[in-house]
Amino acid sequence: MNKSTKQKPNYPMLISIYGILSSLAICLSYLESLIPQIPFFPPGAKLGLSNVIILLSLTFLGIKGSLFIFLAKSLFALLTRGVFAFLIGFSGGVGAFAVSVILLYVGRLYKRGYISLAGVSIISAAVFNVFQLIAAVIVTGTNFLSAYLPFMLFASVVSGLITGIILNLSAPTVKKSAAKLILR
Amino acid sequence: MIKDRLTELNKAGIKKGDVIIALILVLASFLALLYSPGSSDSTEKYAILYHKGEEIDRINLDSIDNPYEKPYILNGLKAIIRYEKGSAAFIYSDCRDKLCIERGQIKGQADASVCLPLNLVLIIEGGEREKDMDAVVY
Repeated sequence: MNKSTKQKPNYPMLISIYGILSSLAICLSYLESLIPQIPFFPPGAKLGLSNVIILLSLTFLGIKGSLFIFLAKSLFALLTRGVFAFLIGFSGGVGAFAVSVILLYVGRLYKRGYISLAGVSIISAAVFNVFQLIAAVIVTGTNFLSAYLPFMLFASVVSGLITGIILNLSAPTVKKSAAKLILR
Repeated sequence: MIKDRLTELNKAGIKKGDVIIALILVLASFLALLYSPGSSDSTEKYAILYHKGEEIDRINLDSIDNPYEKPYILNGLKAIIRYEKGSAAFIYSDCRDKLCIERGQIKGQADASVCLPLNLVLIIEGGEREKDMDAVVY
């Protein structure tokens, strides 16, 4: 593409989108904490609705933009839930973010259409839970918690599938609209 | 029947690869369940409290006739656990989110309640394994 015709990002709009998506991720994270325990889900396990925003942003904002939203959400967790809960959640989040980046940008499964965003969401939910458990085992110093791995893995399939369906239905429209707003 | 379900999933953008990933993880969770640690042959039920990975208390839950509450003060932070015949529960904690309290009573073998800010893990050992699904509380 010719340098002169290359579309430049609309930076004020881009900053606004960063802010809106960060707020959405934080709000969803908070709202989710108000939902009572989901039947057949391990206590403390959540649907991970805020991860919808992070995965969604990865599809059109790129790695840097999504990382900003992920860090903003993590900072909120640090301020509201304390250091230990933050460390456990952050370790899960880092693992899930890294695996989502690999699946969306590096791997071939998504690029070639073998899996949809639901597959990415399921895998990232599983990685999130596994990393969380590893962190919990390290923090508490007891490997007994690894007994909860099967339940967390099962919960990640259910939550990943639900968030994945939301992503599959919303991503194409959001991506299209965002592209119009961001590029001038 | 299966074809109808697959058509419904297709409408939600679900691909075969997604279904395969979900099935692999479900299978992995069942396999992990078979090899999960924590089972004990003891017929007596104990509530064991760990702090930073070290056992700090062990209560025989079968021998309790009258329920009682026991406070623990660790690094200036307080937690109270209520012990009853066959069960135990965090009823107070100086942590922020109180998830350990929301966890409620634990009573089956391999049941656990965790208070991460206080670095406390309460585990049930012995007795019969609970059929309910339980897991770590963050």
